[in-house]
Amino acid sequence: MKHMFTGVMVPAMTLLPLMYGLCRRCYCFASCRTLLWYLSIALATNVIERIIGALHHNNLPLLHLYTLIEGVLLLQFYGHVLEGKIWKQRILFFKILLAGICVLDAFYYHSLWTFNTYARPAAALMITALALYVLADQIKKQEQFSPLEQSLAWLNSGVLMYFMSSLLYFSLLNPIVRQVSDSLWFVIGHLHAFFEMVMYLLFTVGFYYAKHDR
Amino acid sequence: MPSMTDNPYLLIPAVMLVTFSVLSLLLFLLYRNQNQVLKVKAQMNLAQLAHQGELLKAIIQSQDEERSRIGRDLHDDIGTGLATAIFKLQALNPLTITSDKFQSFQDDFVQQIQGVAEQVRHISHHLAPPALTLFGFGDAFRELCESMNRSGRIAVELDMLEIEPFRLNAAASLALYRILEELIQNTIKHAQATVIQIVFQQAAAVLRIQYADNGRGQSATAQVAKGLGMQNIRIRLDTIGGSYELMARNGYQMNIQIPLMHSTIDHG
Repeated sequence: MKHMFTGVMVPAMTLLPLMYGLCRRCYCFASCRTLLWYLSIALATNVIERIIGALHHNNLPLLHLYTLIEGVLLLQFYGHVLEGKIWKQRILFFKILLAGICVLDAFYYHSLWTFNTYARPAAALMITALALYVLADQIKKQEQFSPLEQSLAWLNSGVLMYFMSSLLYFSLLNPIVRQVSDSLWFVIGHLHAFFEMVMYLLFTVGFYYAKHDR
Repeated sequence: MPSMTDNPYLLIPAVMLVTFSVLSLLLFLLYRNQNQVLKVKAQMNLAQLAHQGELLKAIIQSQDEERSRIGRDLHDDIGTGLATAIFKLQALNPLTITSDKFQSFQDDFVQQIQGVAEQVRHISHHLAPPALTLFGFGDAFRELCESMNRSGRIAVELDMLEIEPFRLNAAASLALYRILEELIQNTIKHAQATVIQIVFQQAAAVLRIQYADNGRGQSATAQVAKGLGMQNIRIRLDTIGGSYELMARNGYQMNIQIPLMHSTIDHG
């Protein structure tokens, strides 16, 4: 099983934060509830993607749809984290902008049957920017909480590490698939999966502290 | 050996890995630093709480001691004086007493009651010096120093010439009066000194008081440094935003600084 790690282990790892978050009733918090939805959809998408792939069909239209849902859900997460009416408006603007970019990427710049290398990095950029803003905000408020005991610090770190590290990967997926060797594709795929795994682990820790913060 | 230019796509995993590593390190250092800052702050808060606890304990001890002293004074002086007066009154037999004896009894009785009244005045004076509210800190403290000089137990040299005419408010006056009174008592009890010098100076918005005696010095007074009296001094200085430092010299010297701010000056 050459793709055991990327194809089975990491998608299955989604279950760890998902189950843990549900067991600890983290859905009581709006921000954690959004992340639980995100994890559920990521898991479901992975399963469907495997099935379609196993049937030797192109599963990339699913990625286009997933990019939009993932982006909207993570923007919604930051909508819950960042307080104030102005942020609600900004998040709404980001969501509409992302939806527009996703549609243009799927039907104008690329096609549904290729990687969405404009929409996915755009979503990653928006999410990374918000994650960095939240991080800066936390540093400013350092007197009020201990980051090692605060749920948001862990959840935000997970999002930031995954999306910032994978930005280049998202941007260059089409040329990578066409031009790199199988061995390099293997390395890049595994790296991306590893970052995803780190994000799920950090989410799990974040859900652990969500109970403490209550 | 193939170079990087042979396969530019090798840069992709390299950049991904470097980004991830740098970000991980940055977040780790950031959160560790934040945690350390919080730990230091928590320790400082604990130390402050402990200090406040000590001060509170000292206040309670001081109050208890003051209550005991008042109780003792009332019992020993007033109680005994009144009991003696009652005893004398009960011993008086109006049927057998002559006018000469009555006159003698009356003089004796009046003297007895005057003694009690004097004790009451002395106790109330100690509780709240009337000169302090009537004439302000300067006159009240001069009166205290003069009474010390009259007692012959110690000579107090007071220099208040450099003070501009100002009035400390009631709370600050009482606090400063008690602080200096406590220092004088400490000198009398522990220092075996013969002379106390107290110099008041005012610079800008700060009142500086130099208290010195020619006694046994810091080593003798160090024994009482952690005593109730010194804790009282610290508490009273805290309440008026003042500070003090002990100076190394022959004898004992304490320099006190009190900021003359809105909360310490009488605006009336």
